[in-house]
Amino acid sequence: MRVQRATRGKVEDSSRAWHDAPQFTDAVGDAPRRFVAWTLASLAAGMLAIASFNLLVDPYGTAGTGIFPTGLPRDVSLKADLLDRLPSAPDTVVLGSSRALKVDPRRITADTGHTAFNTGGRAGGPPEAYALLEHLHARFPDARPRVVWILDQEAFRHNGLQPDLVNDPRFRRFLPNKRRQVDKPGLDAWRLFSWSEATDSMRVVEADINNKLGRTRRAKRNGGFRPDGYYVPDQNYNFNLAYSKYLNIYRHGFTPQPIPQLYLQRTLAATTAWGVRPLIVIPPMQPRLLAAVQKLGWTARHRWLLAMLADLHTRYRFDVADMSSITDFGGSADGFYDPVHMRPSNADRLVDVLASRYPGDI
Amino acid sequence: MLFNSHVFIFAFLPFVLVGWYLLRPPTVRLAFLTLCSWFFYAWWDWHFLPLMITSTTVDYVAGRMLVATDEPRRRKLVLVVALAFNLALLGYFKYAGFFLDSLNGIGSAAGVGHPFRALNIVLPIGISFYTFNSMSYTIDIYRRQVEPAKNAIHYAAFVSLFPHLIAGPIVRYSTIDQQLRKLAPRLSSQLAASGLFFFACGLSKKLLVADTLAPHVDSLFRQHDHLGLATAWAAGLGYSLQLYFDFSGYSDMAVGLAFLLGFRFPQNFNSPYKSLNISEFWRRWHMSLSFWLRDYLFIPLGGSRNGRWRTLRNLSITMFLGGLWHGAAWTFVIWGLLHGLFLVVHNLAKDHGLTPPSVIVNRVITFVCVVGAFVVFRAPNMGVAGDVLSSMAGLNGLGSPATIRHTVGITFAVAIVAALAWVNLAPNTWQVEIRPRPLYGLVLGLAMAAAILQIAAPSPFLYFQF
Repeated sequence: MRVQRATRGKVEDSSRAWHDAPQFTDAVGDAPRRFVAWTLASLAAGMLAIASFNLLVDPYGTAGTGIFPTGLPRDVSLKADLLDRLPSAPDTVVLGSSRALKVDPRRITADTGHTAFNTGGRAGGPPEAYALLEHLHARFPDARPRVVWILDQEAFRHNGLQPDLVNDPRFRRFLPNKRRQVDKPGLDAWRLFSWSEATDSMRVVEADINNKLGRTRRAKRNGGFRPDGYYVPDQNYNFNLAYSKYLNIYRHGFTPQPIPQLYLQRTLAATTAWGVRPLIVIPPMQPRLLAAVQKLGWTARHRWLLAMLADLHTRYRFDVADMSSITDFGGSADGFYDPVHMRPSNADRLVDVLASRYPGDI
Repeated sequence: MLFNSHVFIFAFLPFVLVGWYLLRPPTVRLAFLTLCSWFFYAWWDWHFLPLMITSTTVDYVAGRMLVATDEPRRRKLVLVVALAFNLALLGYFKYAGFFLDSLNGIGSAAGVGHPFRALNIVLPIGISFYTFNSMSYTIDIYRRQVEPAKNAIHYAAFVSLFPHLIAGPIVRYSTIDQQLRKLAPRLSSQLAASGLFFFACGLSKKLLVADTLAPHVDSLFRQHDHLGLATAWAAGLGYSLQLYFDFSGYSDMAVGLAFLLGFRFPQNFNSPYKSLNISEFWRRWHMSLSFWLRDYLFIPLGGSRNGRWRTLRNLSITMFLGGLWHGAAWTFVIWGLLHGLFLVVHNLAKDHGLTPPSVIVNRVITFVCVVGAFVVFRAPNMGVAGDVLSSMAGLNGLGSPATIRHTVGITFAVAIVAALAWVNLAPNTWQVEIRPRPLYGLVLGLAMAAAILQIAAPSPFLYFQF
């Protein structure tokens, strides 16, 4: 392509800002037609190449090609890696989602003298908690660890199992009906045509190659976890974005789903059978969000959660600590990264209060 | 609907092109195009479609009434009513909330609380653009510079034509009148090639450049009170480049889409960052707006005909209103006034022979002024703008190399340097003489594929907010 000269003067002199759009030069015969054909063909080829790669690798397990181990390494697998390295069972196990990430096992040890391990991880719902606990029990069958479960009402929002949970061979045996219950996002054809999925496909391929070469460094690369499962990095959440997200969740409403309830029940059945009395802790929200969502159905769902736990309490042994407001444990409004994720200051305060009020459970 | 969305590229556009070229009677084709454009507009929020149709109807009727009479007072009355309607639309939807908030602010400062209830008015997308299109039509007919639209469908097609509906270029009826009367009978390979070229260039600018810069710029502006000299400049330069690639990308896409439909749109950007002075910048940046402001505001105010001070006053008023056109916020007002000030200073300096002789110095001064003003344009309020500008002036220190590395990052730094080289050295889309070689087709197609693969989440164009 060549560059036209002297267009500047044309603009300066123009009274109407009118320029003729550049015309094709040498546009004789079939040349423009061939140009269009090449443009469209290379567009189609480029897009199809990426889509085929994504379809083949299938990083989210939506297409079911099964050539590569589906699912990117996630916290649940990283925590299982760390559990596998423990020489002995911890005295206390923390379960939960990302809201439990900053519960520091060392704080539990300082308060109670018990060794502790935090299994909490991002997107960790009742199925993950159940699978990790069963995995721990399988590894240390004689151990009777205390269980502190940080459980919020949004844990019941999604129905189904995460594909990566199902695909980790260590958890499969604990998940009956896993194929039927797997929470497939569904094959989104447009996602196949995206760099973001291609990036994830590359990661899957890379992880697979590394595994085959015996270079498993997943925990180090992705987690930032200490050997006791504590998540080290400070989280860089955007308060306003997260605030809008949770406001939207409550504004649109959600119905508690059966599969998370089923796994909650399974977990409690298992712990009761082992003679363990878990402490279920309903975690706090930042006061600004709590005040906003209370008007949007949070209160009704909170009542539902307490009623469901009360019903389960007639069959299983466990305690409930409702810490949904910071006043329940003397937390601080500033002690949050975003409206739901506690900073270490609030998490430590929470552990202190739990240790003093429920000494037998933690 | 966004140009950079799957539904637009793979469903809406092919459907429109097939219908447009399959239908034969011109009026039916224009009616089809109008309906499609209305659908395109309603995709965002159908509630505002009647507003656009009402605006279209009012200006069309005003145009008919203007040609139906030669009586000057009656013609003036029709013009005033039509303009008042358009300005009232803009005033209510765009500025009412701003003025009431400002009055509440004054009331609060005076200790009388908030005398007015806050208005939560949703700004109809594209209202500033289609209102200006319509106003230029009515004014041009009043001035007897254009013939009125052949019929209502012609006029509705002009106002709602989806390539320019949401964010320009601001197309005047005189530009498109003859094109509407003589529609392209088929999609020739010439039209398709030109259309694809412009669309692919615009899509790549938006998705591969502007959207890559955007998260870094947003992050820096969020940390406005912790910026040092280098990081503040990264924020200012990053946003100036993001805005250029975003908006000129949109304009290129609009031109490409117009080509595919057989229309020609005016150029909207002509390498503005190569300008030697601020006056030239405004002849190169958002040209359809600056020429609109010149023809319908600056010249009617007296232009540069009545002496130096009147000229400077007219420039300042024009730029103040140009700033206000961009949005109902003090930052836009200040941005417009800053540009008015730059134009005044440039005019005075030119008159007194004080402009530097060096081309490079002139370009650097102009660019620095533009970047500084864009910081005000981008900032959510003057406090943030003040923080960034004071850091750019070095008042908050240089910032440690570690902080710069952590805050700016090597990717963003390289992107800024590359984008600066592009806007200063490379030809713009309109300067490229296109040759229909298969190799160029291959490169263009792959660039387009790379851009489309980047579409993951909706990423609106920055100028949609205006």
